[in-house]
Amino acid sequence: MALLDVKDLVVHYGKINALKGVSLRLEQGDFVALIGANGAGKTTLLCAISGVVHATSGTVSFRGKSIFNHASEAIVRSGISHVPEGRKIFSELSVEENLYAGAYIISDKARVKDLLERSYQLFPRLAERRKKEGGTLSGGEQQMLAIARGLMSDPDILFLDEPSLGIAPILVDKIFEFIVQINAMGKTILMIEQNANLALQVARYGYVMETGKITHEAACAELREDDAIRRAYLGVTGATT
Amino acid sequence: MFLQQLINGIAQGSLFALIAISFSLVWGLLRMVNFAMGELYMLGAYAGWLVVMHVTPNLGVALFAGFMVGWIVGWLIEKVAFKAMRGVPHIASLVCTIGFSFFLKETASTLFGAETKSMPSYYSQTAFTIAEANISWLQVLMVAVAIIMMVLLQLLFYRTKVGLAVRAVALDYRTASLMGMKVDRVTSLAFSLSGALVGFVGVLAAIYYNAVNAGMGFVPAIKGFTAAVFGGITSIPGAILGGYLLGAIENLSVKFMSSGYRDFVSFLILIIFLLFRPNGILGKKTKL
Ligand SMILES: Nc1ncnc2c1ncn2[C@@H]1O[C@H](COP(=O)(O)OP(=O)(O)O)[C@@H](O)[C@H]1O
Ligand SMILES: [Mg+2]
Repeated sequence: MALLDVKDLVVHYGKINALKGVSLRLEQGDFVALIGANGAGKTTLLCAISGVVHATSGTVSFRGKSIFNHASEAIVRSGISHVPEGRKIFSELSVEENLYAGAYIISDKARVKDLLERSYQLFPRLAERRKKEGGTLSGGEQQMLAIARGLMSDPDILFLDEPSLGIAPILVDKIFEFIVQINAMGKTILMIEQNANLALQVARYGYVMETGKITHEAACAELREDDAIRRAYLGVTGATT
Repeated sequence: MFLQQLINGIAQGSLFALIAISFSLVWGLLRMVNFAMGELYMLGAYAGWLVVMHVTPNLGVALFAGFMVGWIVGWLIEKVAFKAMRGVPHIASLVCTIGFSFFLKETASTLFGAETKSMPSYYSQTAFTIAEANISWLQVLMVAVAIIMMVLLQLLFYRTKVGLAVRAVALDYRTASLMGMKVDRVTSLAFSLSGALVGFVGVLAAIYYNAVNAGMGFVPAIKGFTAAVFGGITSIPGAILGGYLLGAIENLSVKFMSSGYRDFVSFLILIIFLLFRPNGILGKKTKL
């Protein structure tokens, strides 16, 4: 049984058909990348699974139980944490308060403290800035905070939507190292990434989306060798590199 | 004379500040104004009056009754005017709170009669006299109670998990729900709390002015709203500052113009701030 099993998911925004029957599976410990052009429906897919967007039809099951169209506050309780596109830091809460907000579903105070310690170990930069307002951090720091906040609910699955978006190039590698490390901690990751090159290097399995549909899926190593994908997403025009 | 006006201003400012906090709370969460705030104040005053006339002269019980009535009716308004109307244009909710304002006022005058009830006075003896200005125990009590309320609110918002949720929902309710916060519950709670605060203030005001009637909420609600805009409607410290400043300015203005113009002063401030500085003294530009 897959950890997360999505079948034939359809989403409409009014008349716009943003997802036209998308299926996807995540196994325990997976690191899966979702790539595709702007507007392909990647964010919509994550939002429909995490309850931010209402789906028209399809099925979503997590550990064999349906979570289809459950409220987002319920889905995070079942163990899926969604780090949204654009980071969405609570700008006027301190770094530490943002982290506490991430642990909202956990009532055991000692456990929250442990998770907080873990965040600071993983991201020492955040420990230095714990009292600063979220809005005053740099883009890269905000992304670290968004990821750390997403981990504070101690989820089984972490959704990451464009973690490299709007971040200084030197920090992008750093962020991806963190993500690999988080996957090594045992968290299952489903990551959207516009930087397909990078995404297909760090993840193990990949899905490619085009206008509301999955067009390819395969191990990342395989996708990297696929000519159509190389031309469309990896910016390769001629011979192999 | 000047000192006396200032003292009266600070006592009244305590009332304005608490009402202003209520407006800020609702604005922060819903970007919305509850036009029935004055009637929640009035219902609180009646609740306090009923308690001291028919149950017990204990002022604490009366204040608690005002708080509870404000809580319950505030909760109801949120359910009808905001929750049930989610997804329809904002204006529908605003109109609905205006409807509540009329309805509650009419209900009160039907139940209790149109004439003004007099409230027994409490702590009216002079506590201190400074340079010919008298400070009554009631004034001391009002300021003390307001400050205690503000400290409690501060603790609630900054030291508890619920408070964190209220602040997070006010900043970004979608992201808050990704954290597992129950946005509807948090909103309802904060709205009820805003109602409870003005209900509580209504009891204090009933004692301070020795009067309770169905129309008593209109002017204080506008003043509370003015104080909130004055200080910056998104900011609770701003609401407090706005409340005290408005109380002081209003009372001191009596020195320069006939006291009939007193209420006019606050409207003038409201208009000026809405036109030229809609973010108030402490509010942040980005948020309005
Ligand atoms: N809130 C919305 N309302 C209407 N249309 C939307 C909304 N969000 C996204 N869309 C549309 O749905 C499609 C998919 O968008 P999105 O999921 O954001 O794509 P991606 O994340 O792959 O860039 C796009 O055509 C976009 O314009
Ligand atoms: Mg997107």
